[in-house]
Amino acid sequence: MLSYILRRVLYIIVVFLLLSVLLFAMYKLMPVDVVEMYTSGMQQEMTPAEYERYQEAFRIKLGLDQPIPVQYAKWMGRMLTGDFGTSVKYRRPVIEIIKSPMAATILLNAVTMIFVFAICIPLGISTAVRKGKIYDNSVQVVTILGYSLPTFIIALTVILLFSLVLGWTPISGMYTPGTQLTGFAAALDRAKHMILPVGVMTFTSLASLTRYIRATMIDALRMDYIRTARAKGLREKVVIYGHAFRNSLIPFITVLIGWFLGMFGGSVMVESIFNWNGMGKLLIDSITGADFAVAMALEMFYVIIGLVGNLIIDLAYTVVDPRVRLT
Amino acid sequence: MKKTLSLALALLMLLALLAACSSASPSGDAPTTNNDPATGDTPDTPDTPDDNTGDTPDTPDQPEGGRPTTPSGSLIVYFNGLDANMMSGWGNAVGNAAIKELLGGYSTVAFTRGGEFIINPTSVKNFEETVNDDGSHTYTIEINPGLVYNDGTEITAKDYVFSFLFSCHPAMGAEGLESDLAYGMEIYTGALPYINGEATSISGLHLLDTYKFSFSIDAETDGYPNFPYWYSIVNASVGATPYHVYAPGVDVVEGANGAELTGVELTAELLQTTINDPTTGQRYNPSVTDGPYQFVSYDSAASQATLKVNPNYIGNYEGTKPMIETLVIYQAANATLIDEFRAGSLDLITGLGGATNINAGLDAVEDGSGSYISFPRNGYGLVVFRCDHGPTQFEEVRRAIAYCLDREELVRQFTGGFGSIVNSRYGAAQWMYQENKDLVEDTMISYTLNLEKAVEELVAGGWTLNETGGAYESGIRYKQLDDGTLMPLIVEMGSPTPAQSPVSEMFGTFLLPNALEVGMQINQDMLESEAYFAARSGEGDKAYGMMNGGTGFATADSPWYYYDTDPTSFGQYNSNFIADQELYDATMAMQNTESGDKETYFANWMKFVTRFNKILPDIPLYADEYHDFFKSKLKGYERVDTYPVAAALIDCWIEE
Repeated sequence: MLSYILRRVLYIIVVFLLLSVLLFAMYKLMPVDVVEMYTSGMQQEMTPAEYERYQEAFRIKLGLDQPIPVQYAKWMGRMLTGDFGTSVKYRRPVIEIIKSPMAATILLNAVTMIFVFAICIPLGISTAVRKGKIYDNSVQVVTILGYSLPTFIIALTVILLFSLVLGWTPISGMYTPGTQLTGFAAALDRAKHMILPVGVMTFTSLASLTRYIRATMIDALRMDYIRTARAKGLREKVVIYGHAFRNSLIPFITVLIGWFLGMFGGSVMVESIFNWNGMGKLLIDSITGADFAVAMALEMFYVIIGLVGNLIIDLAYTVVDPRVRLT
Repeated sequence: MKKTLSLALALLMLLALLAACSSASPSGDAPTTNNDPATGDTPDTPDTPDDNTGDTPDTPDQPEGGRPTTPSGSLIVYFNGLDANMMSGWGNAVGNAAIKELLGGYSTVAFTRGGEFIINPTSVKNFEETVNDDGSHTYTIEINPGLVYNDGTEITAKDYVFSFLFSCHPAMGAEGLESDLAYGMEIYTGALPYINGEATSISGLHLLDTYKFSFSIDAETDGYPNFPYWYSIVNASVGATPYHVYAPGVDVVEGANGAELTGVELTAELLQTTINDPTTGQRYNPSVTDGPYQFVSYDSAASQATLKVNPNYIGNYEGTKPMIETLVIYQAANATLIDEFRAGSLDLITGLGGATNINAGLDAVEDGSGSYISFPRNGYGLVVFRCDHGPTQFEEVRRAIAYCLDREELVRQFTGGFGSIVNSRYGAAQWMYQENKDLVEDTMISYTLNLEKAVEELVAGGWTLNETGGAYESGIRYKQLDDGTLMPLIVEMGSPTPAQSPVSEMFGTFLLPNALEVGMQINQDMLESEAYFAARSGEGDKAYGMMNGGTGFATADSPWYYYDTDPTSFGQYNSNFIADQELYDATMAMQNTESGDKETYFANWMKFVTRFNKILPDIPLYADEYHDFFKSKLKGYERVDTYPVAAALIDCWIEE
């Protein structure tokens, strides 16, 4: 096991370095003059000579006067020491920029995850038990709607219905603008603002997890030990929840870990429409705004999450299922 | 089991709510909050100048028409762009620019709603400009006594002198701070050695007494003469900087060679604490300010900043004090902007353009959601010609293209009727146009669709040949150049993609077929933004003869930088690559007009816009009619595009 982990860690390091080179090269290949983009606003405020000096100083400040391999080495060297550079847009260290969106995204995803699992587990079990019945087919249709429809259409539809027509929920944002609430009132206000984005993310996530649980349950219900349990005269509920569901939990735990790791990645569409200042919105704003220090830091973070996450999932298999051996 | 599942589900819901509650306050970037002087947690407010016996300007009567005498109510204002930087020197998002405008008050120069720069009578008691033997100018300024910051500290000449010494200080350029404040300061006598760390004082800067200081501007900088200069008054603009907060322990004194700092050394480490600390630094939490409003908080998670009235503020250049107690600057999602307005979570949306947005806003107004005002944009959409190569180097071709373009229909369709046509390089909001509309419009060639005139221009320009050098009859026209070669009348056009600029597609209807009819072929490429901007500065793979885009005029619009005939300016400021001496001379005459001499400036400006209109480095396409939508509770709101929203809000009040 130990040698397996060491090999995987080595693999992670190699893949991480390769991806970092690839990402860095991709951003350098983008035909964007970051200096021009971020200094042109000052052009009308300066004489041509001042502006030229300003642009040159800006270029040096960003390290763009250095050869590209040197730029990469400096970026990677800083990153390995926890310095992710400075945002060219916000003129602040990247680590300071990321804190707040990270918290916002984790909150949104955690609450969504709770709702998704709370809904999908009973739905998956009940549809498996009633496989092929009207109830099963109805759930399949409703959940696949969330999967099939574009997220922005669902989002705009719920805004129209729940915010504009019914007036039940705020349209967007994380707080009611203009309020200085504290304590429970602030929490309640935040919860109200979460209803629509959480609702949309939950709705769009139902199909896959419900089907996954349904499929594992159907497999479990076909097992010999279920037939044995029924032959012993156990009540059907005990058979389903006590035997079938418990055994179907083994692959399900790996899904749970995957979801947990996915909490750090924001939804670009949902966060943008609902003005939820999370990681997805930050990433898309950074890319469109050529704020590459932020974009690359986020992407390398996701690379690490992905690589380490896969290792954790593989290890989790051995924990929950003793039959699995990692070599 | 059913009961167990129900219990489990209820528990999960409760957990979800608890999770929401526990994170109700952003953990990473918590809102920064000041003590609100209005709530009594501040030093006593000293007497305002109104209470003094003299030495201060008379405050004009407050406007009539229901304007209250004490601030009340709140207003949520949308700006597209807001971040944590609340202090000049680190970026300038639109929302932050408005906040800085609202936090700063006693600059020596004010910008009026009429679009002029004036000496601010609220802060300046005496202003004197003297011309020195070496051509430099010295400004001696005496400020009014009794001006105070929001924390009650009196403002003296030291605060103004500190502004120079602080902005130019080498520590401000240290790693981690890297402020922009020193750029543009080289014009001040003695500033450059100080910026470079070669001097401890600014030789042209002097602290004369408690309320009086002076500074000088060199005759020229980098080969550019600083005088005479139409905007020279702008260079006399300086605000007060609270040195007791920015640099505790530092004092400002008059030294042997100009004003300098003494006491505690101003170091990057000190500024990292006082300026750059994410929670308490003045860059993110400007606690001591002198403007109409004071900073309360900024919440990055909620994209909003809250400002409250500064009770110590004595008024803008007209003596007007703010009457809206709380302003919330809020960045909402663009996709749902009008919906937010309808729902009441936004009170004021500024500067909406484009038929889709405006019509949505007007629908909301029709539904009773609020009111609106409209005003012309201080800028325009345009076609930029490259004037140094290809057919567009010839002014006859540029004029022919203008005659081939159905501007009226293009503007009508693009703006949905919410736009107007201008005929030269001016904004419909600029005072030169506003005060002389008839004369300007009568003087300019209007370039309405006229293919006969387009042909006349081409013939006059020598585009009378076919591809073999014979007389032109049909197809593409040719012209024989001085070296004997034939140039085809084929113009390459670069456009932003329709996603970036919907107007790009319209040339296919309103220009290209008409151009073909007169013997001109225009090949249009749609370019992604990076390629587009590279092409605009002449750095792309292909040199385009014409490109469509947009431009806006700065408050201190300086056309003299943009038509310099020196080829080194081509592609940078001079994006037309035009070397027309008459045009450049006209701009230089504008620049060299004595500040305040409006009559001469206008005469020079007329020469410029008339020449521009004739040789057409650009075809001005449309000036949008911007719309501001606001809730009916906002009273007294008036806008022109040259006057900042933040300044306009000082005249407003709330009637709930």
